[in-house]
Amino acid sequence: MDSSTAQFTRLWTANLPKVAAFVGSMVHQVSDRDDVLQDCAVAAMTSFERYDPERPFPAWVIGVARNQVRLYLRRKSKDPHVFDDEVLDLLVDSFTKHQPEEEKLDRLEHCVGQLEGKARQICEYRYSHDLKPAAIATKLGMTPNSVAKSLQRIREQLRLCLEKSPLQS
Amino acid sequence: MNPSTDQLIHRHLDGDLSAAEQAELNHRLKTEADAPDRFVEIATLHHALEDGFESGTLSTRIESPKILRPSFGSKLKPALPWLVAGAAAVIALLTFTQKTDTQTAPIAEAELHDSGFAVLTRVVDATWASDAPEQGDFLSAGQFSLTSGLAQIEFLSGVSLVVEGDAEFEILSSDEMNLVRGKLRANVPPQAIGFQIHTPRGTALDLGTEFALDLSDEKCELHVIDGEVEWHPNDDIETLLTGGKGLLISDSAPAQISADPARFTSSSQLAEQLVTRQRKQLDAWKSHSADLRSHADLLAYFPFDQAGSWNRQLQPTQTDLSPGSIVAAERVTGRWPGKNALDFSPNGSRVRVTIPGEYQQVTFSTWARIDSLDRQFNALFLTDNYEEGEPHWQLTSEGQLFFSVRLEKDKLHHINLSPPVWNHASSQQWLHLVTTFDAPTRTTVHYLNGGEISREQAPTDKAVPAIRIGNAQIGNWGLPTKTDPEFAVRNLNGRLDEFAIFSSALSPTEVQSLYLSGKP
Repeated sequence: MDSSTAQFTRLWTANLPKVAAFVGSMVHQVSDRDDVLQDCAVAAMTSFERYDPERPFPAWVIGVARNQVRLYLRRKSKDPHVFDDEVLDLLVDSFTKHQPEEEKLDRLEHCVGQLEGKARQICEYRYSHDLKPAAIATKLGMTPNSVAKSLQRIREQLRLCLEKSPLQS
Repeated sequence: MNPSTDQLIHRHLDGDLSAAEQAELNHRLKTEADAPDRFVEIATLHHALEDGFESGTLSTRIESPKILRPSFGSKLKPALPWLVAGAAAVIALLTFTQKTDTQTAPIAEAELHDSGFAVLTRVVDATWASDAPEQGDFLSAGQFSLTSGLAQIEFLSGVSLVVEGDAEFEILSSDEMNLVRGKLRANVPPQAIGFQIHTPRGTALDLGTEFALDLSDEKCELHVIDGEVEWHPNDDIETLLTGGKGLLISDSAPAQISADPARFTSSSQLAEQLVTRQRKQLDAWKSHSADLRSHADLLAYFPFDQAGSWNRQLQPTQTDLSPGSIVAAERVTGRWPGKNALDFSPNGSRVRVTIPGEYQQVTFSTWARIDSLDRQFNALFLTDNYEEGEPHWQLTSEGQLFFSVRLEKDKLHHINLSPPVWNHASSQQWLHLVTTFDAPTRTTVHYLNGGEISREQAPTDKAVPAIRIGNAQIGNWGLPTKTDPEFAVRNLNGRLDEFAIFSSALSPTEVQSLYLSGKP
């Protein structure tokens, strides 16, 4: 591996969670998400020589990812579950600015561990089994709407838990 | 009621928005100043959850098969011919966000498991009070009573023990046991330091190498042959003993003694005794085998008594029979050192034999040591083809003896299955397998180690006029033809030692005596 490849690898790896979160929030099809993320990696790598080291890498790489996501969304323009370019750019800005809160996310395991009963089950079905609210509803004898609301409550609860300092939790 | 922006974001991430709601979310993201940041915050948490559950760092408690998602980088699109291989590999690596365990396919079947803390590796004239373990058996936690003889027990931790009957002991784990009564000598390698033997008077804790215990109701003697052992009395502080030292613990105060290794059988002495014992057994078998040759109904008898790996003929004792031809199978050690067996595990292994004639009754007898039964059918003795009157004797993958005789064309044969005679735990044991068949009464009897295990009479419409063998094979089935070089894989993954076919259905007493005269 030459030094530029090594440098790219380091930067890409450090920013991968951000790129993956960005791509994941835009692309619902899990299988498509893999392809788009891969496209992003290829695009970033092949255009890395044009990256200006004076600029922050996250902004640059999210920009690259945005282009790939836009290409993808254009292919899927008939899909209603997508954002228009204007929203995409707004979100790109937010993703770029967003400071990763790694110490906070490190506590995610602890916070998920505090979920109990149905909340725990819903969380497992959603993330471990990759089920959509309607499917979870069938499994647990709930309505899809109440599952959707529960998921929101669960994530809000996790958010609150992550905000607490380790001493409080 | 209008959904909140947060609600829309959450439901967007769950893929749960209608087209109208998606348009509404688009609108909110454009018009509400903090909406994009809110979106990113929630999406980041959502992604962390996805990632965490996928990689297994966030545990799963629901007991149902995990649906494996195609993971990032698991398939690299072949659309990049211009990308050099190295770079492609880097990308495969780079887009690989999860830990490796989600990459592997779910294990379809449970892995094979053994259960036990130690293996009974060698015995010399051992008799047990009850539930006699066989050589090669796993010993689980429990009580054992060796009334006489010697037993070598190797714990999975690496500890090796020689126990002398009369002794009573209990295995607790792979590094802990109770001695109730009797003598033993323990060899504790560095890997197993800390091995403990509890007695009613205290515990011997080995810090490496060799020690011995002699325990009776009156006293307990500890002999440290080499290395160091800590003696932990039940009610006092421990004493450290080094090689050559010993301790006599009785109702009076403990007394120092010197170690006396000669009083305890070592594993090398056991091995010597075993060799002597095996030589005697082999001699006894030889004389029984010589007697057997004059059995009136013996049709073909292969004692496997010729040496030489170069010798590819399996000599029968009948002078009018042509020798069997060994194909691929290897000559290996049989039931005793100095005695042959054939290992049929090499691909294509078999012994080709020819046995002319027609018979009303037949008995097959062999000694088998089976490593595994991984084929659907595992051959013992099968005729080349499967024509009317031809017998097939084999083992199923479940370990049952399977005996059948082909009926006239287009008629389904009757299958005579025994209860399982083999499982993984018996893979080190020599098993005596016998099946007898009586054509007039359509009766099949299976025997394991001299005892009858099943007897079955086939329905009258499954009658066979006579049994024919002709060209047949020991240990395999199926021959390729010029036009069809494929053949079924049925070679036995294991060894056979001694093979006999009789033209009568041996009686239970005769089978029992065959077993006793050949038992290793």
